[in-house]
Amino acid sequence: VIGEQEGCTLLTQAFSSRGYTIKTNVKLEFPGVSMTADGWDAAAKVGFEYLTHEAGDHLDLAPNELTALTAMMERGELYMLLIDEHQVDLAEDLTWAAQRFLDEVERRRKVGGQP
Amino acid sequence: MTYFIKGIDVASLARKAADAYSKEVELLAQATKNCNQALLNLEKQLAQAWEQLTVTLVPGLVDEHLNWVANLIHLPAVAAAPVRQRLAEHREALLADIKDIETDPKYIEREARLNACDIEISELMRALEPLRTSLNKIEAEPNFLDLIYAEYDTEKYAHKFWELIYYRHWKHGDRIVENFGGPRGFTRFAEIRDNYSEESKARHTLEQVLDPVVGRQRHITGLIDRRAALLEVLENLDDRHWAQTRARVHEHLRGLPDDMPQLLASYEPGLYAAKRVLGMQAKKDYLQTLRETWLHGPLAKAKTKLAKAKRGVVKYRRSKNSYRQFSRTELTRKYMVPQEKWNKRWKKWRDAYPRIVEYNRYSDYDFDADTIWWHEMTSGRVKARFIPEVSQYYSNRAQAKKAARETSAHDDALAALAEEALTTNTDENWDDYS
Repeated sequence: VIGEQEGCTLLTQAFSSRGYTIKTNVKLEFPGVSMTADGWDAAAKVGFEYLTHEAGDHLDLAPNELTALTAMMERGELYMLLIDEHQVDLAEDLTWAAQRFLDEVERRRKVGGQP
Repeated sequence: MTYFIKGIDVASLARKAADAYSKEVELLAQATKNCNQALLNLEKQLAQAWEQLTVTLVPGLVDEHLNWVANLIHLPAVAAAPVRQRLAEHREALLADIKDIETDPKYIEREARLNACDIEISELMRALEPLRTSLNKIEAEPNFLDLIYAEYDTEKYAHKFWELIYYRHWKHGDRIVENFGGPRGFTRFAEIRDNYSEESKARHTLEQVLDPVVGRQRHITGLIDRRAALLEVLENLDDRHWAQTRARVHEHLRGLPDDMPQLLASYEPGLYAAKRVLGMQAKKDYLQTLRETWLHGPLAKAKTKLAKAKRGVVKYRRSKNSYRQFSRTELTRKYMVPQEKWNKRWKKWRDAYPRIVEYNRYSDYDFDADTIWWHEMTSGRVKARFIPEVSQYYSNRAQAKKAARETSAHDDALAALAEEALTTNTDENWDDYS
């Protein structure tokens, strides 16, 4: 299992390699959502959140906040890769998943006409 | 005036005590092991002695002999009439069961029916085995069933692209397609899923057809096996009832150990065999009691004392205690080893145990004499008064001798005292050195 610190480093590298400018531990406030993202590009509105039980992230992102966040993603307003630490076995799998996620973000933005 | 002793010297006392207790524990454990083995051997000998006694009393199912033994040991159930009746009833029941089987159409047509089952099973297995092989292989693939339950690659799949699990499923799905899709030309997990679903249904359908056929086959082979078993019982019926009759005699006599000599008094071979049984049973009872009193009890105490002495070594060696002054009287008493008491116990054990274990002159025992097995086995060298029978016996003897002294002439009394001195140990009242 890849821990949060190692996972965040891998994800920052993966997002950066695709041209995103990732800042860590960014406080975010959206309607119905108040959270600290592990990685966030404010200009692109793309980031990631590593959900660990130990860090209390599950408590930080309450069910109603998660619902609001996913609704924004459905509408294409922002994109946040959500990682449950128990689902990450290999570093290469995490990097691969990040690349496929960013492919999908780009595909959706092209379809939606966004930059 | 109080004398003192330094902690370091107390530790030395505790070490010596620990060494002595350790040695005693070892001796007791070894003696217990030997005694357990002796009891195991004795158990086998006792079973053989019972077999010998019952065969002596019931050498076969001869009516005249059965009536004689029933009368001898007051057990009407082993007389010829009831034995013959039980045998006849059993034979009748067996024959009825065999007839039921032999008239059962399933048994009558067993060969044809078994052939039909074999053919049907073979046909079903021809279709089922490749399915089972294929399905077992894919079901053993890690994560395959997870993807099935998650309804991966269907419209019902609920995970979204921003969840990591979505990519895990994607990766596992791709691997499964690569490993299992190629030979059949499947390029998507959905196709593998559809194929799996169809094969699973086919397997289920075939198994539903197969199960009753296998059930019919088992029922027929069960009838064949049962008939063979019943015939075997029928063939050995006399032997079985002979054994059962002997078992009845065994059960009956086992409950009457005190009456056995009187019951068998008129039949010398029976009395001889009974002496072996009763002697071995007494031997077993004595050994079990000796083991409990002279081994198990002392072993438990010695282990406790050993643990305490070991703790004492550590405690009094500690720097805070090693040069502290303690009461010499108190700690010397605390770590005093009761070696003399142990020696007395071991002497009694060595006097009694081998004599009891090795005793085999069962036929010399005289039921009419004023004696007990213990006295015969140990020659009165040890009087284990913690065994009620032994205590009672030697108390009675002492009282009788006392009475004799009071009523007999002075010389007779002196003679009796002299005999008592020969057989009485000075530690007579100290049999339990636990």
